[in-house]
Amino acid sequence: MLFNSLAFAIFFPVVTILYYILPHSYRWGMLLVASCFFYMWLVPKYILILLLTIIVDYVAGIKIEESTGRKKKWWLYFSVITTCLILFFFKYFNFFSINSAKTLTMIGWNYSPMLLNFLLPVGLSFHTFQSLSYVIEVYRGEQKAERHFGIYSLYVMFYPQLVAGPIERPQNLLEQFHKKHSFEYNDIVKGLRQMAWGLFKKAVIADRLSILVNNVYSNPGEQSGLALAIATVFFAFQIYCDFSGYSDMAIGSARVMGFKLMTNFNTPYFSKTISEFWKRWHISLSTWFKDYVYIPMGGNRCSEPRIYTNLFITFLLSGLWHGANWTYVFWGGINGVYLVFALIKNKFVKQDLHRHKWFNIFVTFALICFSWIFFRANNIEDAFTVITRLGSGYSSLLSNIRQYGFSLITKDTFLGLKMGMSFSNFVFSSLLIALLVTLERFHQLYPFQKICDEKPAWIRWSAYYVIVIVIILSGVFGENHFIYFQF
Amino acid sequence: MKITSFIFNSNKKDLYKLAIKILAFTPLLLIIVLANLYIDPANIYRKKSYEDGMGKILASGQNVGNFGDCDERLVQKYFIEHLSRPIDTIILGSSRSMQVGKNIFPENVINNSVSGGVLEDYLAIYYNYYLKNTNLKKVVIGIDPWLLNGKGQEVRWQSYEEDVKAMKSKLGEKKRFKIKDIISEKYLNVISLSYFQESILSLFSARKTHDYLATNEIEADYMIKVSDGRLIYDKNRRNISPEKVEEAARVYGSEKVVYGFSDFVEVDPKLKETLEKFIHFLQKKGIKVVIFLPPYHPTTYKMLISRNDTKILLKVSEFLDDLAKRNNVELVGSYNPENLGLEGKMFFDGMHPKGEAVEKIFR
Repeated sequence: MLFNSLAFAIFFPVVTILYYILPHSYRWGMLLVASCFFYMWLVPKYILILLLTIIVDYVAGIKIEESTGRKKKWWLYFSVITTCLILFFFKYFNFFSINSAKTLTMIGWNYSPMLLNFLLPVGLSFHTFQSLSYVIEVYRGEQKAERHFGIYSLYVMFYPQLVAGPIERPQNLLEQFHKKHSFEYNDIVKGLRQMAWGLFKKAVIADRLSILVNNVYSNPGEQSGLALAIATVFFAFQIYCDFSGYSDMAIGSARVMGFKLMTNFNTPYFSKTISEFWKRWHISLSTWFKDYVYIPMGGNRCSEPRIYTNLFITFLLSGLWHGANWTYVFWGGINGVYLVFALIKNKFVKQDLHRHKWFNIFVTFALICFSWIFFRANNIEDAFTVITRLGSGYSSLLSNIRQYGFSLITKDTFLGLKMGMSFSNFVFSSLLIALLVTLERFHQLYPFQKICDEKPAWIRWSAYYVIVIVIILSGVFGENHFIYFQF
Repeated sequence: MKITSFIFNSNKKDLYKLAIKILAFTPLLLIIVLANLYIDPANIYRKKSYEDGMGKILASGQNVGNFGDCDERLVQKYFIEHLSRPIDTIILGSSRSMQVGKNIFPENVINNSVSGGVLEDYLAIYYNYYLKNTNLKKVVIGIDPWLLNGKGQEVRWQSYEEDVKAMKSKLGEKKRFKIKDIISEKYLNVISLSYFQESILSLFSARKTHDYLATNEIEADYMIKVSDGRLIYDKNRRNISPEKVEEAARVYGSEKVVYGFSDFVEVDPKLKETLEKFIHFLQKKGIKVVIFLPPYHPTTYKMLISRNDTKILLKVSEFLDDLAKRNNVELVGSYNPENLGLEGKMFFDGMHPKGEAVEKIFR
């Protein structure tokens, strides 16, 4: 079930009202049933996979807590291996099979790769990582094993964050299921506000930008450098609005019921360095990789070459988590290279980041956009086609502008660029990006929450109405999936 | 008791505040509902005399030209109702099958395809022939991939919802209660935001409802519905350049959500079963069944089979191949235009083959 669907518009108030009507002792059961319904809306049978990981990790958590020494470790291995095998089976099997076959073919051993014909269960990567964080925290003694099977199931399946995060830690989320939540007016209002803002980003901005991005990236070999550059920048905002919009709706809908989920995005495109970007983008995933991959590998407490290697491997794995395609691995690798380079550079050059703040922000954004090329391209060949063509077509564009002037702006194309989007829609999309950047910058300086609480009601209500009307009139509807649903 | 204790023990002031805030948005909801009902750009809710008139003309053996937005399903219903000549062959399909008619089947043929045709449309349309005891000899079923998408968004078949239910009952389908039965999807559409946007846009553009006319012309500046049910496009569309077709094909294949493929994650078992039951029903009545797979434009097809969200059409194709073999049904056409030797210029856009393409397929 999508957050921006009519089904959810009915589901959400019904579940919320039931939540507050029911006594605390029944709420977990109702939420669990609702979460099952939410997940089964798409492909019902895949709930069995979810159930398997829940059973495995529930049992493992208890056994880890009860065991000592080697037995404790074996239960941890059992849980991690089983959970990862399920993820591998559905998500990575075909990728490894095809690439193994290609590798073997290169050394003269030809065979047809065995391929499995399963669809990727929605949200598999997310709830797998959430389950893994639970067993690891129990193993480390940082979290008591949850004995209530229903509550543990709800921890994995809690519908606001089930299919696309934030990837919660048990210390934050599990405890909240045991606490009684009263009807809190402020939580509900803040939650609804956040949901509206998330829906605005998703339906009005992300889905609109995707029109141009999909058209240009479907055929990069025939696009000019300017079109590819525009599409890449548009994609940067598309993926941000899509994913952060979903996170806002997830966090907002949980907040309406009194649950506090972690912040997942913190105006990442205002980062002055790549390192800062990764502390502000998909925070739940980057902290997961830091705590459960990078630090166990040694983190910063090793030799420098080892630190660089650990960092690079962590980002390669992060790329692979996003999808079974070399484009994602390249994307992760590029970000790993950026960070390693930054570490090396900082050893020799001490930079005052605030001195050329906007220049640093621009450079960071440009570097991130470059990496997004790999993330968005259909394959590695297309990614390199985009890169090699980024510098092409400008001279002919300039001569066309000199020759034809404003007549180059027509209904379907402008400046001779065929990006699959009308000129007016392009202008509107660009204005939306400018609006988003302005609002986020404004929010950094003057948090909206504070403004909403201080300003008179008529100003607040005008803003609410404007956002809702803009969503209604300008939203792109039609069951568009969130990008991160494919993970 | 628990409910009342919640209501009365909670801070009443907060509850009232929240209720008022939510109610403050109801004017917007009202505007959406009223706009959808009264502007109604696709004429879902308006009176049906327009469609009846078109049906009468077609049934009389003349073509209809210059028609505007209308309920195609009702046109088909009234067309069949007013038919008095014998009919041997019917074509059931979507707009992708609308080029099949007298040009291919010289016998008494009617193409009853409707835009976005889904299985419910085929059942309803056939049911209207069934009611008239029409002695059909052949039924050509144009099957688009979305026909087997259980999560499809198409709701226009609700114009003849009762016919759909009646035909399903004839196929022995048990009536299962669905929440959708409480409120028809046609009326849920009243709060559709995308339909509201169409309603607003239509206020700023010329309304497309025209006065249709009876004609014997086959080609004109406007669209013509031929008396055999085929659709002949307007001059601009008929004369579209190959470059524009290629561009359209690419745009179609790169849509964020390709038409009919929304949430298409599996070939729906229920729809497979219903389709097979329908075929058996026809065969038991001595009707020859032909399955027609309308091709996609070559560029579009390549894009669709490379996308994760649309390559399911390969599974659909496999299933139909198997279905045809198991049930001794002739299968004509293919989603892959290369299999049929079709070039891009034989299409109007990414998904609609021209008459010359379908003639080549059926030859």
